[in-house]
Amino acid sequence: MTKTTLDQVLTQRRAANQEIVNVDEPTIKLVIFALAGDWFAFYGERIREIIADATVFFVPGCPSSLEGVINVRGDIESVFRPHDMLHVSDSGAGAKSSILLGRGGGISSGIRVDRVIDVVDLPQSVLQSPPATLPEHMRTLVLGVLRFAERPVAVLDIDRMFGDYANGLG
Amino acid sequence: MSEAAEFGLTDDPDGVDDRLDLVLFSAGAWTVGIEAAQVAGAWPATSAMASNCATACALIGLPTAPQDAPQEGKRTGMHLLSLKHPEQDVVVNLPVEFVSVPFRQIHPLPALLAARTRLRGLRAVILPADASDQHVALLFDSGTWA
Repeated sequence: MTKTTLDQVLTQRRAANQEIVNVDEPTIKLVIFALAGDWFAFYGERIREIIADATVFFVPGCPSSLEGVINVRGDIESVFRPHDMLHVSDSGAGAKSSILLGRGGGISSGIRVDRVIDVVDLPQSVLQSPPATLPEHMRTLVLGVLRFAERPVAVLDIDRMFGDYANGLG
Repeated sequence: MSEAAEFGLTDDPDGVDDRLDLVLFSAGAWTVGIEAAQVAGAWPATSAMASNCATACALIGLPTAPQDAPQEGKRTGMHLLSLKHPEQDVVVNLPVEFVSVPFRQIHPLPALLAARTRLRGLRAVILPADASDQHVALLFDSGTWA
């Protein structure tokens, strides 16, 4: 029986190491959240803060989707509910609801979500183009889709969302 | 408690803050403010006088539905405010107060709120001193109330 030499072992190990390709794949940070039973996400760099508990001051004369304003360390920010805009049912602010403080299109605002699922870094390759079957009202708002925890997630365009809301949608 | 005290608008003994002079009054269930420089005078209004003048609520477009009425137990006497530009008298509810408000307590409207508000001339808000109060004072440019 031929004995394996040290040289052979080292050669095998070097060959095995060469097969390991170190790929530095670009990643995206996403803030994934739930509205009713659907999951959505914003790019992480567009969300400045997640506020779990804040007093919302009601301002009259606004659409019902605009909850009011919150005090964020001395500055005030609006808080709106995107449910109507996204055609998902709105059961009001629950115990697990949070406010995502976002910035887009030169506008800053809080966005009420029913639940924050996770803040994750994912490979960019997981993001797919929006499917052709996407409902009409979602087509301009969705940048891409992915699966996370076995659920479909639509990544939303916060610039477009704020712009559309300012123009009376939702 | 006065409207001014509710919003923490107390005297500034040190005089270190830059301040804006406002006239605060009640409109419907809400505390409303306009720049004092836009007010020529104020006096108690009789029903007859009031019937000939527009109410602040009507000029502003303030809803008066119960769900928009956080303040209860306010005095409801009427005053006439005489405005300079445009020159007109407006019916408001008591209390009417002159206050000097630090700039830092006057918050410009966030962009989405400014875009979606239906209130005429709404320019800023003052948050209440007590967060549990949950109602704001609404500051208007009365020059848009023509």
